[in-house]
Amino acid sequence: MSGEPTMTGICVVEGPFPDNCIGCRTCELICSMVHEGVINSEKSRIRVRREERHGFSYPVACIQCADPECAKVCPVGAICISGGAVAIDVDTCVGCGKCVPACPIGAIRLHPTTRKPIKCDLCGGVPQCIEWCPRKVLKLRRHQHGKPDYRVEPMLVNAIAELNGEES
Amino acid sequence: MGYAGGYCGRIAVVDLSDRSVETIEVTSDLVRRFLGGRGLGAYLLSRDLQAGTDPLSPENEIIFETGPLTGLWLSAGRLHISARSPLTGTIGDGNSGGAWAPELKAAGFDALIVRGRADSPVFLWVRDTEIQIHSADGSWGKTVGETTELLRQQFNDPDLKVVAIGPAGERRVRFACVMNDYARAVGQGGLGAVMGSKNLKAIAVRGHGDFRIARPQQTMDFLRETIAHVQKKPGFDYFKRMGTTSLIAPSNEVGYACYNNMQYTRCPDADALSSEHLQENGYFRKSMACYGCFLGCSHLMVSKRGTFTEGIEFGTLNEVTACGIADADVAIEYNLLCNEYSLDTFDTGHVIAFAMECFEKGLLTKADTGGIDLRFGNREGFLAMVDQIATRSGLGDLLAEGLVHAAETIGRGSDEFANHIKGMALDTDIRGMPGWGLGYIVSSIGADHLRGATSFTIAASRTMSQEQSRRLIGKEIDPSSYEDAPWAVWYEEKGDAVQDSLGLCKFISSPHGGPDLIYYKEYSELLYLVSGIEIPEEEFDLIGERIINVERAFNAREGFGRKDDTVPPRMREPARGGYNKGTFYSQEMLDVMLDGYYRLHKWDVKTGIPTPERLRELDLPVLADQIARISNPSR
Repeated sequence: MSGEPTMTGICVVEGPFPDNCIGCRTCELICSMVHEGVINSEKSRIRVRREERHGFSYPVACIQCADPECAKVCPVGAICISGGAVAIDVDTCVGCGKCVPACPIGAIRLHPTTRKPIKCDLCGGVPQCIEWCPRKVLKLRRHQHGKPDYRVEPMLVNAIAELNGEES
Repeated sequence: MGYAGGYCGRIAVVDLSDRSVETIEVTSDLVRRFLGGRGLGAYLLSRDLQAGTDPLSPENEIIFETGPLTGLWLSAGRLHISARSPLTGTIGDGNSGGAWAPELKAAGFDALIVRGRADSPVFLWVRDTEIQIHSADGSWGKTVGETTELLRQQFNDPDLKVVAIGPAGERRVRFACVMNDYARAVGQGGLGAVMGSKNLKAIAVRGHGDFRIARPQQTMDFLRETIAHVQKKPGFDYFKRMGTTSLIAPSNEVGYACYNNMQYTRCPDADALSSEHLQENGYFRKSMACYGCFLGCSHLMVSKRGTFTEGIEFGTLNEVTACGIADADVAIEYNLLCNEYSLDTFDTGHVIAFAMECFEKGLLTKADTGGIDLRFGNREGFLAMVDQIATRSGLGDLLAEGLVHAAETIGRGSDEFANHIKGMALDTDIRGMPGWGLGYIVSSIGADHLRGATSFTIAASRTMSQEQSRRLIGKEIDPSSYEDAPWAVWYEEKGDAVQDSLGLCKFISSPHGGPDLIYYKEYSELLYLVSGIEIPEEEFDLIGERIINVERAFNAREGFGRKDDTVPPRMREPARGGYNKGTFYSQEMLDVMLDGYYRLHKWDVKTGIPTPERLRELDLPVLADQIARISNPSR
C-alpha cells in the first residue's frame, strides 16, 4: 500500500444505453425511507441533479474525501472520519451550515426540520440506494485522495459545472 | 381527518373568479368509495357540475388529483386531471407521469380543484399548503418549456415542478393538452383548453413535506418482492429498452396502424419508425423515467437536426403515419412542437390526416390551406398545419374545433372518413379485435386505449392463458369472439379505473400490463401498509365498477347513451392489410357486444344508461335520483 489514505464512496458508473441514470430518484426515496421512515427528497442524503429538457440526470452523494473540505471549515470539529465514512456528530454540530457550501460537489444539505447538515453515511456499510437502483448505475468505489477515479470524477465535475452554468 | 400515511387528507379549492382559496377534507367515505385520482375526480365533477355546463365556461371545474400510492417507488408518479371535456362533451380525464403529482403531495394536497375564471392570465404558486395567485402576464403566449423555465427563474428554484399550457391551450384548441414536467402530457379530451378558458397558464408546485408511510419496513419488504416479481415479466427488459415504440412492428403486422387516415391498416415504410431502427440510427439518446419508476420506458430522442424531445410514444408515431409519413426526424419535430404548444399528439395528427384526405378528394384546396399542398406524406405541410392549429390561423382555426365540427363544416360526405368515437380521434385501428375495439367504443371519455381496451386480446400479444382467463375473468375468452369481448372489457375497465385512482402506472400492473402482475390482492395489501386503511381484495372490483358507473351516469346526464357507443363509418368497411385484413364492424356485431356489455353492468340494455337501482346498489344515491328523472321525466 502506498500509505496515502483511501476512502470508499458512492459513485455513478454509467454503462452504455440503456444502463444510464434514468432520473427516477428511487435512490432519494429509499434514502429518506431508510433514514427517516418517510418519503421526502428533502431529507435524502443523495440527490439527483436533473435538467429535464436535455435528459440530464445525475445522482450526487458524498464521495467520502480522505481530507474533507467540510471538516476543515467546521468551527466546532463536528465532522470527522469514522467507520470509513465522513461523519457529522449532530450533538456537537451547532447547525451553522458552513459545511454546505464548502463541499465541492454539493453533497451536504440542511435537514428541513432539524436544520442540521445531513450527508451520506453509507448506511453503515451497505448503501441501500445501490441495492435499489433499478439500472444499477450506483456503485461503491475506492479512490485515493489526490488521485481521483478518472472514470467518475470528470463526469461529476462536468455535471456540476453544467448545472452551475445553467442555474446561475 | 388524519391518515397514518398515503393521503394528505386535504384538497385545495381555488376559485379564480373571486380569487378565494379554501381547503376541504378528504373524508374516509370518499376514500372508501373512490380511493383517489380518477375516481375522486369523477365523483367531484358529478357532484359539482350541473348537467349542461359549458366545458369552456367558468362553471366547469378542472381537478388535479393524486392517488394514495402516488409518490411511492412503484412507478407511481401519476397525475390525473379531470374536467368536462370541450372536445367530446363527456367527462374528460387523463393521466400523466413525471414528478408533478408527488410534488403536490409533498406540498400537502391530495388534489387541487380550480373553478371560475380569472380576469386576466394568472398562474398558481403552491408551496407547502400555501397557495398564491400570480399574474401570468410574463408567460402568456409562451410555450410550455419557456413557461417552465421562466417560473423556475422567477422563484430561483430549479426543482420547481410545473404544469402548464402553451399557446394552443390559451387559444382553446379543443384538443389542447395539459403538459407537466416539460414533456409529460395529460393528452386527451382538451383539458388544456379548459385551463385556457380559465385564464390559468400554469401551476408551479414545490413541497418539502413528508409522504408518510404507515408501516415503513413492511412496505419496503413488500415493494422489494413486488418489483422483483414484475421485473421477471416476459418482455419487461425489451419494453424497458424500447418503450412503446416497440409496438410499431406488431401494430403493422396485426394491422392496427392508421396509415393515410386509416385507409390502410399497415404503413409500408413502418420499419423507418421501428424501435430497432431508432436505436441503430442513434435516435435514442438515453432512457428516462417518471418519479420513482423502476421501468423507465421513456426515452430522450434526438433528431438528425439536433432537436431533443422526450418520449415519442407509439400512438404519436401511429398518428404520424396516419398522415402518410414514416420519418423519425419529422416525428421528433412533431412531438416537440405539440409538447411546446400543448397539443394532443393523437387528435392533432388525426385531424391533419383527415384534412389531408379532404385535400386529396378535392374537398379542400390550396385556397383553404394557405397554399400548402396538403397531400398525404407532405412533411413540411404536416408540420405547418401543426402551427396553424396551435395559432388558430387559416384552416387551423377550423381544425382546432376537432373532427366532428370540421367534418360538419366541410360537409360533402367528409364525415365518412372522420375517424372518431364521441368526437375523440382513434389512435389505432380497432377492426378484427373485438376486445380492443369495444374498449374504445364504450370508454367514458371517447376513443381511448387505456380505459377498457384489452391488450391481451390482440393477436400479437395474447398473453393471457385460458387458466388465467377462467380465474381472473370467470370465463375463457376467445380473443376473436364478439360475444366474449364484453367480458374482457368489463374485467379490464374496472382494473384500469382502480389503477388510475390509486396512482399506479398501467405498465407494471394488471390488467393492462398483463395478467398476474400486481392486482387487487396486492393493491389491498399495499394500501394497508401505506395508509393503514383496510379495503378487502374483493372490494376493489366494486370500486372499479362504481367509478365506471359514476362516469357513465355523468355522461348520461349530458345525453350520451347507446346511440353514442358506436364506430366511425370507416370501421364498418373491410380493413386493408395486415393480419386483420378483411375484418370490419357490422351493426350486428356491435349489438352483440353492447347488449352483453350493458347486461354485465346491469344497465338498461335499450339505452345503455345505468339503472337507478344499480346506482343505489353501488352507494350512489344522488346520481340514482338524477338518472331516475332522466329515465322517467314525468316522475
